[in-house]
Amino acid sequence: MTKSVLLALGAALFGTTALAAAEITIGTQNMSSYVDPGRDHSNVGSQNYVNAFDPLIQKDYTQAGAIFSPGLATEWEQTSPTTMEVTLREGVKFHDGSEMTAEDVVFSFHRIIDELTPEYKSIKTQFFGNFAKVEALDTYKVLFTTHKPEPLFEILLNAQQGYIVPKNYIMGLTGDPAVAEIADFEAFALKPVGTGPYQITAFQPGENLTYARFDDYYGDKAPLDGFEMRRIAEMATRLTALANGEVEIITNVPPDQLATIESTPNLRVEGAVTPLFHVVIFNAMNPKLADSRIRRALSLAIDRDLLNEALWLGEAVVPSSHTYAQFGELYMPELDTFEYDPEKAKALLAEAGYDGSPIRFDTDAVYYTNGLLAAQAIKEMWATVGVNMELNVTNEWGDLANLETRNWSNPMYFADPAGSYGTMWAPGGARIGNTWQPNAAYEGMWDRFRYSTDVAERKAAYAEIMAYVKEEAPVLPLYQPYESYGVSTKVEWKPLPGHIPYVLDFRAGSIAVTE
Amino acid sequence: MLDYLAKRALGGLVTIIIVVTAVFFATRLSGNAVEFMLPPGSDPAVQAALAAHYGLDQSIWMQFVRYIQGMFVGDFGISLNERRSVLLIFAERLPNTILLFSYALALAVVIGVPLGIIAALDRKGPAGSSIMTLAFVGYATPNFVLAILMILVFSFQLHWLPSSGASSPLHFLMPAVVLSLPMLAEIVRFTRNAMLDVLAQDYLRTARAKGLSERVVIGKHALRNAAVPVVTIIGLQVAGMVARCVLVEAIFATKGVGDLIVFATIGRDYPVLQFGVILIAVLVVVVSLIVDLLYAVIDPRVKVAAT
Repeated sequence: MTKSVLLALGAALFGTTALAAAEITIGTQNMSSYVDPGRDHSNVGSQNYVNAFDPLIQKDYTQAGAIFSPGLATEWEQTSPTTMEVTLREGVKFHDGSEMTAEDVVFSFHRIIDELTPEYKSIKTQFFGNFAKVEALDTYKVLFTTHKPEPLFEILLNAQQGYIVPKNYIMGLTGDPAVAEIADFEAFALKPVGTGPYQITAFQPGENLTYARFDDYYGDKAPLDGFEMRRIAEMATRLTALANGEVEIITNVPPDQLATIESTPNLRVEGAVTPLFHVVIFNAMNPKLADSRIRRALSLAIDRDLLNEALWLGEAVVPSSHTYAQFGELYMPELDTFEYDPEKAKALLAEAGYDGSPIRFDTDAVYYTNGLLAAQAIKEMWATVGVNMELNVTNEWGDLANLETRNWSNPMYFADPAGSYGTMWAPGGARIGNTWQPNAAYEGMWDRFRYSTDVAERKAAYAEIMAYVKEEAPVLPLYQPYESYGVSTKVEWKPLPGHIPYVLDFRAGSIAVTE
Repeated sequence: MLDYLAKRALGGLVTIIIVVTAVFFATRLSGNAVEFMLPPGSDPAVQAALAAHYGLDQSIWMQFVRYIQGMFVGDFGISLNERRSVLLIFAERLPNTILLFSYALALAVVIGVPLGIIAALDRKGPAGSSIMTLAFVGYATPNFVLAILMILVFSFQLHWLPSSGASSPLHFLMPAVVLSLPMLAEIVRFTRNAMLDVLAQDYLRTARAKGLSERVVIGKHALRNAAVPVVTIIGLQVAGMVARCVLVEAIFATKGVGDLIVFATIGRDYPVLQFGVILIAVLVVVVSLIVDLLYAVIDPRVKVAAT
């Protein structure tokens, strides 16, 4: 320990703090404190993985729908409703030079299924709760077995959390190399190794992450020699770094800065509607909001189109239901789960006997782009139907038992309602039992939706769930924000619609530097 | 002399013990750290498991005892955010803060002391008035305002200087200038006042009467005697290094410890925050001691053992 402290001190003092040269630099608002695709489902983490890791099954990210293609697996076959047999690509190298085999695939999934760290337990609940076991049939064949029929095998084997990591490298990082210890995973998260077209060459948690082309990559070679993601938290500094040519791309550009970028020579704005909802949560388990008529009234009083026009210049998408275009056949914009009807809101409040007592709305000042502004606007909208909002600006998420209402986000973790709505609201999901307790029939609806292998039946069950949500109003998706990036004109790049939110894809075909 | 040093060291130790205790309990009163170790709204069961893994579920007294035990073997804990040694994190970042502050202090001293002397010598003249006006403006200008203005002019408009980062000495130029300005203004004021006091002394009239050149009178007799308060103010500035760097490091993204401590505060990263505050306390104690010792070197009339 002392030696590593002295080395770090010496390296920094004697001028080796400069990072390896990178072909392009990205100024990001935030930077993760760890890099492990299996442990992470944060928005900031989504930036880190797609370039350095691979899933078993790849997909075409240039479009919103799901068109799958071989990744680390060359073939896959669902041999029964609960089993999937996967044939691995041979000769794939990890960045440490070792070869990827079925052992690595088993390890990558079982560290999560077996909940080897508290964080993996969280990932298991949201992604792989149905996975019973993953077995190596031989060096290049793997058998996945689930508890219940699994219609989402391909989608889940494409998810970031299922990216393949090297077993022997990780287990050898600390302590006994024959045992997977928590310290191994924490060490891995600081020195990550994958199979992707770029390898991570330097990582300073919370500050920067540097990648270099991996020459032994099995697929199309990386178009960049390398790149660096550098945290520049201040928007003004980030924008200046872009204008000054210090960085080529900046993230998290708020709508009020777009005109500045557009009017600056050699810069442009790229953006896309993100598969993520900013939502308002109504705590149905708080006595103040226990009457569903009050929750519905609060939801009906919010004019989301007006919020979109005022805060997002009309570029965000206001959903009619909890659904994204990325869901493919499960995309159901025809549902009318969420509406604006202030008159109906007033009637419901009168019916419920709302006594005018203040309803608290918690928001962080800066965590969500436009989050505070939206909260202030909602306060006025609620006031017009007679609801007195107590706006509470705080960076504490606090005890859910005391929550009344607050803003939150509900990203698409994988391209299915189960990977978005389900992460919060499936039985056993993050909000069930703490901000909403659905009725006994709900679990049956969910099981029909989640585990049926018939698309029509899944759609019918999801429509039923949404109808129930309409009555219960535990949540209101406000909009899918329009996420903007500032980009130098010498770089051809834009966010691709097939990814989960905030992914920065610099793989072959996704980026080109023109000068 | 040794007796004096021992007394001062003991006093410093007591100060640090009080700081360690206060910061330990104050950080724990500030909120739940585990909430910041996971994405917002994570499963309470997962939060509980993580708290147990890091010993945050134990009683606050047990945590305190463990922390003190660790301190005695040089273990200041693991960052809850980065999950690696707090010492290692500070070792990576402290050099940037030291570099930035050294550049700023050098600028402030090299420019501030001569300006202070000129302002004293030309107290009622145009040079003296102009310098003092500039000093007051410098002192009154918030450094974040100057930082943004400099970024707009030298990076955004002129493209002369990098606006962020710490990968070359050039990256430190703007932050060092911004950081130096209030220090420079203080040094100018203190140097001027100290010089004015000394210039009125009889021994300077005597020196001049002996026929010494003005250069020797000012450089050798006046300046040396005026140095004590100037050294004091420089010492105070060094002691406040980390605090002074916080905003500048955040704006210019120079990756120093000030920035680290701010994010540790926001993210309830107790071990990082604790070590940061202890570091500041140690810095204040050590620098105060050094300044006291310097008095004796500068002015032999000062007997440190007697103070």
